[in-house]
Amino acid sequence: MSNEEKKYNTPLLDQLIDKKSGFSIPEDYFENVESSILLHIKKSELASNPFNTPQNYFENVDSRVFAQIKDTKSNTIFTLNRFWIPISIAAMLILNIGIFTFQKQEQSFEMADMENWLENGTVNLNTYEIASVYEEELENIDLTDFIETEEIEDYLYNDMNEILYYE
Amino acid sequence: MEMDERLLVAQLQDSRTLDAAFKILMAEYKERLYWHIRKIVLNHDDTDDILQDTFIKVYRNIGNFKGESKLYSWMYRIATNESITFLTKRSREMKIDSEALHSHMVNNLTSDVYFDGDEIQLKLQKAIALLPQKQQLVFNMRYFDEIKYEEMSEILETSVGALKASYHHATKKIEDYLTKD
Repeated sequence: MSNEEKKYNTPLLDQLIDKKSGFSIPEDYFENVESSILLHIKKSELASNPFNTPQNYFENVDSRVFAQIKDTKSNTIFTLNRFWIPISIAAMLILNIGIFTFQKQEQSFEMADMENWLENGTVNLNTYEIASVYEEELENIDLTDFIETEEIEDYLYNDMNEILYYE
Repeated sequence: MEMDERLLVAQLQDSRTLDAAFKILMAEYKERLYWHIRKIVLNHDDTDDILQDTFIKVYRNIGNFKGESKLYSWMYRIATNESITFLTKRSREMKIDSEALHSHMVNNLTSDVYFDGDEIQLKLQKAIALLPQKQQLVFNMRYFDEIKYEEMSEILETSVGALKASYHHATKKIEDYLTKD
């Protein structure tokens, strides 16, 4: 202890403790620790990645990736064009043929055909669609017509039973 | 850097002589580094782990050692950083601050089979645990290991004047703690 430090006046630290920390170690620890450390180093060497990369690989990899992305973009446009142009032409031809055929069919379309389709269940229409088809007939129905109670009872008895069986 | 140390570093930096030179290095420094780490983390098993990690780091990084400081100071610095990192990690795991961690570590000494200190030595460890981390390091290195301030300055990257002041504050606090009952 230097004179400079002695002037701090630490009598307990200087005399009572005698600089012993009280720590101990397992027997033969320092004889074995070296081999244990070397074993760890060898294990970590085995576990480490044995593959190398070319010099400056990581410095240049991002610019090379960007260059490839640009290439891929221009290639993609070319590929899409080559793919979509024939399909578009084919679709236009089909559409033209379809419209032409439908226009021809429309000329021969009759209300009776529609009724047959509905009866056979070929076409499923909801109430509003049916109403729009029978617009004229519905307009002619006189809602003020009086229906006799007996007529309603007969209808329910004869026709509804039939409908219920179908359900 | 002295001639012997220069030669050892040259051998450590040559892959053909690395393993043999590394054995010499371990034989030379294992005990000093062990006790340096042990006084920071107190427990033998933790010290053993940190000592191994320290030597592994030395082995892996010796190629980057420029010789601007002494080999011994460089290794002490690695050991100190490893020990402090260990304590920081431990306090984060236990969700307690560093002061609470130190008091927990000192309390564990009473049941530690590798601590056979008497009452005053246990009390000294309790007093050290209450110091700020830098003062703990300075006190342990100066009081127990008798490392010169110039060397300590290189290891802890702190001026000699600041280290002397830290040691002075540390000894005063410890004396006060030891004499208060």
